[in-house]
Amino acid sequence: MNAGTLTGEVLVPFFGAMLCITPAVTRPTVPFGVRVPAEQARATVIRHERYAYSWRTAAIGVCCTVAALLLHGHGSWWLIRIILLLEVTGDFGCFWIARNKISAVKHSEDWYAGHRQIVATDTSWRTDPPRFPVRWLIPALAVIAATVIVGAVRYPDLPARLTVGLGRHQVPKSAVSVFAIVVGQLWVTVLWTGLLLIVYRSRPDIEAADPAASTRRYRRYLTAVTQAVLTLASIPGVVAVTLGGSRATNTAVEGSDWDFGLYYRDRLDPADIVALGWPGRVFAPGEWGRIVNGGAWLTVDGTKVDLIYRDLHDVEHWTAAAEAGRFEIQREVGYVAGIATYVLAGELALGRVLAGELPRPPFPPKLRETAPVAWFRLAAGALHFAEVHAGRQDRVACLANLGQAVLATAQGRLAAAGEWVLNEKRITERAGLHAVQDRLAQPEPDLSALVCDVRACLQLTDTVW
Amino acid sequence: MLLSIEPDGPVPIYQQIRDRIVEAIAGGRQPAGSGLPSTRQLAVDLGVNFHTVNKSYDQLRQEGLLRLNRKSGAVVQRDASSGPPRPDWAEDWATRLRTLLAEAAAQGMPADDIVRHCRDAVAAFAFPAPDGEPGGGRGGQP
Repeated sequence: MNAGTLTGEVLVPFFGAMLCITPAVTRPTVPFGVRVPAEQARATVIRHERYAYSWRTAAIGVCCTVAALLLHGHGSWWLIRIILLLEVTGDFGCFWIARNKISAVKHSEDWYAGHRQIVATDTSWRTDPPRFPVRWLIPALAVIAATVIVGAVRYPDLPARLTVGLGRHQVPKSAVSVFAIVVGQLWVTVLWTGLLLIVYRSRPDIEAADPAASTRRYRRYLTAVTQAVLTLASIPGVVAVTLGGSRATNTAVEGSDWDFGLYYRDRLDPADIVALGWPGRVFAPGEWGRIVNGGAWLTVDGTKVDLIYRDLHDVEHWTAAAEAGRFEIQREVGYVAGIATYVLAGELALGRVLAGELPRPPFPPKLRETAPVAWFRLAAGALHFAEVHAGRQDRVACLANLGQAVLATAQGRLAAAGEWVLNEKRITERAGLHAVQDRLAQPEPDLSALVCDVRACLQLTDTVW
Repeated sequence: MLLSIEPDGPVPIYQQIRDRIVEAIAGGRQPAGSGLPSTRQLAVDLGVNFHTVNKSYDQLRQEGLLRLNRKSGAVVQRDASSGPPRPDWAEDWATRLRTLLAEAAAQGMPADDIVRHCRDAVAAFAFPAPDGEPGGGRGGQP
């Protein structure tokens, strides 16, 4: 799994969809780059070509997406790039065909006969150009400055090895590796500022039919877009936002809350989340534990929204470990059988990426071998203690250990089947252990009989733990 | 100032640009001291050849309406409030006006209509108020 395959999964359908809808968002009097009179904007040839273009590009997009998905995991990363290139070239070809057909009809029917062509410009655009909203750069520059200061102050405390990039290679600590993030911030800020400056200097989009109003509109539009882009360029540290939980896996029930994973690198300031201004409770990173990290419970317009922080450093570390078949089961509230560290990889696989780039690991084959062994061992141990407690008529301890045995068995079975498990909700059913639920539904005074029946349901082959 | 030209019209483009600028000066939208875009910039914005705009600016310069400066670019040099024109220029203008009015008379336009058209055109110009203040200026003087 690397950024190359990610590119294929995300970019091929994205570009396909964007190019498919392009004609719908362009001005009706300039279909496919051909300027036509307003009364011809709904001409038969234009409608026909729009229709044909959307079908052709949709077909290309679907074919390329299918090809990219089939190639997923096989072949080299550049195969996906070639598919992307073919897709974009094909879509541009469709655009070119539509453009030529409309242009041919326009000329043969002489649509502009009896029209006067007028070119309008606003000289004040040059003599009194719209001011670039320099002040809106302040947040982005402040974030960069703050990063530099924090980096300089914390430099002595930083670990000797740092994880960089989406790949999970580590580099020794040095001024270059520590301040690489600042270079990234500077690059984004300079890139967007430069692009916006070019837009400011380029020819304004003025309609000859109503030059004064369209100039005013364009000035407002330019200011708004610039302010929005400069603000977005400043959002610190957060490199990707995913939609997780039940909403992403389509298991949402009415009233399910919205879970958003907030993947961050190096630092995430809870003050930034407080500053969003939504009511709720915001926790610091690491406050919930090593794996579950931290989060925030917010209410946005009456809807419960949970933010969950994930440190990309931890995520990458445990994802790489899971691929090698290594993992740990740690104690965590809400996880009776414990939380496996590969949950972090599972979240990547099941979450829907809303912004940014994240790897989407498949269930590692090695983990399918190593994880069930560990879970079944835990289950066997818990079952043994259930028996011990049953012998002493300790109902609470016996049932607790039975529960742990059942949940650990379910975890092991699902891992063997290559299914990600993010929490213990409904995993007993998912693992096909309905019989246990039924057995526990009946009142049972004889604890030893209960343990014996559950043991039969779990069908653990190895009793060594 | 909004500048519109007809690239396919019967009047040469350089003449159209020159005429629109003169009208803007008379209408107060481009008062004396205000700037115009550089020839290159205006040529790009209008989608015409740079030499075309150069020709318009050069004509305006010869008429004393525009000052072309390497440093400050093209600046309007005079307008309605800059005092009376040179006598020889007025004589030349009267000759051209006579030809223009003669065209209307030759086409059979009544004398009243000709005078009304003249009055309407002049009413749209920005003349300085009698007490010396610039009046009627829609563009406003800097």
